[in-house]
Amino acid sequence: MSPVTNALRLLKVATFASVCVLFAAGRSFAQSGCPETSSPSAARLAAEARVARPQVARGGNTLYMMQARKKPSGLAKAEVQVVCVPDFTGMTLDQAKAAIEKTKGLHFDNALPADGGTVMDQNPKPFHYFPIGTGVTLQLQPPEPVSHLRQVPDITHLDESKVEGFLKHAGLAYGGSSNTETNDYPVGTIFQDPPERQWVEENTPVFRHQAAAPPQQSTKYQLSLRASATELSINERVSFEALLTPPVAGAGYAFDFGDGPGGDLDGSKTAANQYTRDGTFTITVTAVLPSGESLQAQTTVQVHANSWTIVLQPNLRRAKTNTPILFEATLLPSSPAPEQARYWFYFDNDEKPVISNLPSARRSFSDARTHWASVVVKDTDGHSFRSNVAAVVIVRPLWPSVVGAFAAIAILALGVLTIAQKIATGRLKYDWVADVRGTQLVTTVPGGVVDAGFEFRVVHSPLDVSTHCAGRIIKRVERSV
Amino acid sequence: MSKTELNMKDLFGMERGKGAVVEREKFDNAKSATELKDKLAKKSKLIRWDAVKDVMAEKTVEMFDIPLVKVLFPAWKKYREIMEFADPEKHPPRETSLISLAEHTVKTDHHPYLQVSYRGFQFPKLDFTLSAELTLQGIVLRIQDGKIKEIKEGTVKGKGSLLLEKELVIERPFGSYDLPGSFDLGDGIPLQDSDAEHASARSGR
Repeated sequence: MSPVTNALRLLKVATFASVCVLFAAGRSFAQSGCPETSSPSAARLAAEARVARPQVARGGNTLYMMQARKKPSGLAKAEVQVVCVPDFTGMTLDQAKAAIEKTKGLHFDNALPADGGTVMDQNPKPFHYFPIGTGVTLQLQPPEPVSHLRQVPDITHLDESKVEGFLKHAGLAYGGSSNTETNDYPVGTIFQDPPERQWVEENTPVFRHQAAAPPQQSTKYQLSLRASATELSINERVSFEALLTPPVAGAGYAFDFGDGPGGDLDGSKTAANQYTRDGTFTITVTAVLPSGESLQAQTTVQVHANSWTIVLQPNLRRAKTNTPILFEATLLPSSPAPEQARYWFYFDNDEKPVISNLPSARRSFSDARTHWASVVVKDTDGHSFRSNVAAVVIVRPLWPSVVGAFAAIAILALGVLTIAQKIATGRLKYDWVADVRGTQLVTTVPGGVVDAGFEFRVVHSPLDVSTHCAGRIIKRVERSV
Repeated sequence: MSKTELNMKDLFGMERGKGAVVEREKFDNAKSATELKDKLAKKSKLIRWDAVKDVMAEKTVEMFDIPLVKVLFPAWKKYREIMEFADPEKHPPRETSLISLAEHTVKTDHHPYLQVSYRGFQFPKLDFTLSAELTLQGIVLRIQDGKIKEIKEGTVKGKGSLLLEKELVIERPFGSYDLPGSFDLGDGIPLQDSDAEHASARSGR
C-alpha cells in the first residue's frame, strides 16, 4: 500500500469518526430534558461531564468532547458537559436575564421583540439538558398598543369636498359617503358613522350617509263582505258592506248582487239591493286599491217567495234527567206550508242534527244543566229557516237528594251522638271530681254520683314514745295545800 | 279546731290551705303505691289515679290526727320523778304541786297504714311512718291527786316527717306552740294508768 493510499484511508477514518461524534452528541442533546436532575440520563451525562474537557468550540455554545474513538461497531462516543435549562416563561425580561445569569452554563442571547413584556417562550426549551455555554433566546409578549383616541366631529353639515380635510385635521380618516336604507332617520337625512362626539382610535374612518327609504314590504290586504240579512223576502231591502283590512284610502269598490249586471267601481264600500224573485244569490264585491291591486269577496243571501218564522217549543221547560222532552216546531204563518219540508233539529252543540220529516223530535238529557235546542226547516227549493233557540233546564230527581239529605242527617246525628258520647266518656274519664266523705272516696260527675265504691281507711298503730332529758327532769316544785 | 284539741296536725300545720303540703308525686315512687295504681287500673278503667292520689293525700292528713296529750303524757310518765307525784302518801290529794320541768325532748314514731278497698276488695296496705321530735321548754305542770290537772306554762317546738315506705312525703319543722290552754284535761290525766287505759294502749287505739 502506497503512503498516499494510507494517508487517504486515515483521512477517511477521521472524517467518519467526526461525523459519528457529532451525530451521537446530537442524540444526547435531543433526548428529552431534565424533569429531575437525578434522572438516570442526567446523572449519566453529569458523571460523564465531570471527566470531559473542551475540545471543539462552535459559535456561542461550547461543545465538550473528551473522546472520539471508534467503537467496535464503528461508531464513536461523545461525552459533553450539560446544564438543565430552567423555565423562564412568565418572567419579565429583567427577571429572565437575572435567572439566566444565575444559571451556571447558560447565557442570555437575545429577546424579541425588544419592547415586549413577559417571556412567552424560550429557546432552548425548559427542562431539557443542553451543553454548557448554550445561549438562551427569549420570546417576549408583544407590547400592548397605545390607544390614541380622537373625538369624532360633526361632519353632516359640511360640504362633501371639505369633509376629508376636516377629518384629517381631527386625526381621523374619511370613509366615504353613501345612500343608506334605514328606518332610523327620515329619508334624505344626512348622518354619520361613528356618530358625533364618540371617542374612537386615531385614524378611524368616519362615514357619511344619506338616509334612504328601505324597500316597502308588501302588505297583505283582506277583503270581506257582510250582508245585513241572509234570508230575505222578495223585495226586501238588504245592504252589504265591504271591509278592507287594513283600510286603504282611495280604494274603489264594485258590487255584483248576483241578480243582474255588476255595478261600476265606486268609492263607497256599502251598497244595497232588493231582490224581485226568490232564489239563492251570490254577491261579489271587488275592491281596487290605489296600487292597482284588486281583491274580491263573496257572500250569499236567500230570497224567499214565502217566508216562515219557526218557533221551537219544548213540552217541558224543566225536567228531571233522562226524561224525554218533546220539541215541537211551529211555522208562522201556518199556511201555506213549505213543500216537503224537512226539519233539522240541533241539540246543544251536537254537530250532527236529528233530521226529521215531522216538526217534532224527542230528546232526553242525562246530565243536569241547561240544554239548548233549535231547528232549521228546509224546503225543496233549498230555502232554509232557522228557529229560535229553546232552553230546557234539566235537574236531578228529587229522591236521591232526599235520601242523601236523610243519610247526611243520619250521619250527622250519629256523629253528634258519637261526639256527645265521647264527650260524656271524656267527662267520665277526665272531668270527674274526687271528694272525701267520711272514709269513702265519692266520685262525682256533673250528672251526679257515679261511683261510691271506694273506701280509704287510715289504721293507726300504738305510739312509740321515748324521752330524753340532759339532767333531772324536774327543776322546781311548788307545793300548796 | 279548738285549741283544746291540739294535736300533731296542728303542729305540722296540716289544716287545709296551710302548712305542710303532701308531696303527692312521691306516692308514685313508692312500690306499694305503684302496685295499688296497677291494681286499681285493672279493677276499673274509670278510676283516675290522680283522684286516688288526692284522696291518699287527704288521708295522710288524717294520720297526723294524734292528740298531743297522747304523746306528751305517756312521755312524762316515763319519768320516775314525775311518777312520784302519783304516790298519795307522798303527795296527798289536797296538795297541789306546780312542777317546773327542765327542757326535754320527746320522740315519737307512729306506723299508721292506709287500707284502700274498692267494692269490698282490699288492696295491699300502704305503710307510713310518722316521726316527730318535740322539744318542750318551760313546762310547768299542775298536779293534784295523782293527776296532771293543767299545763300551766311551757312551749313545744320541733320537727316531724311522714314517710310512705322510704319516700318522704312530708317533712316540716314546726315553730313554738304555747301549751297552756291547749288541752282540755277535764278532771286531769291520771299519772297511773287505769286498767282500761292499759287495755287501750295494748290495742293501739
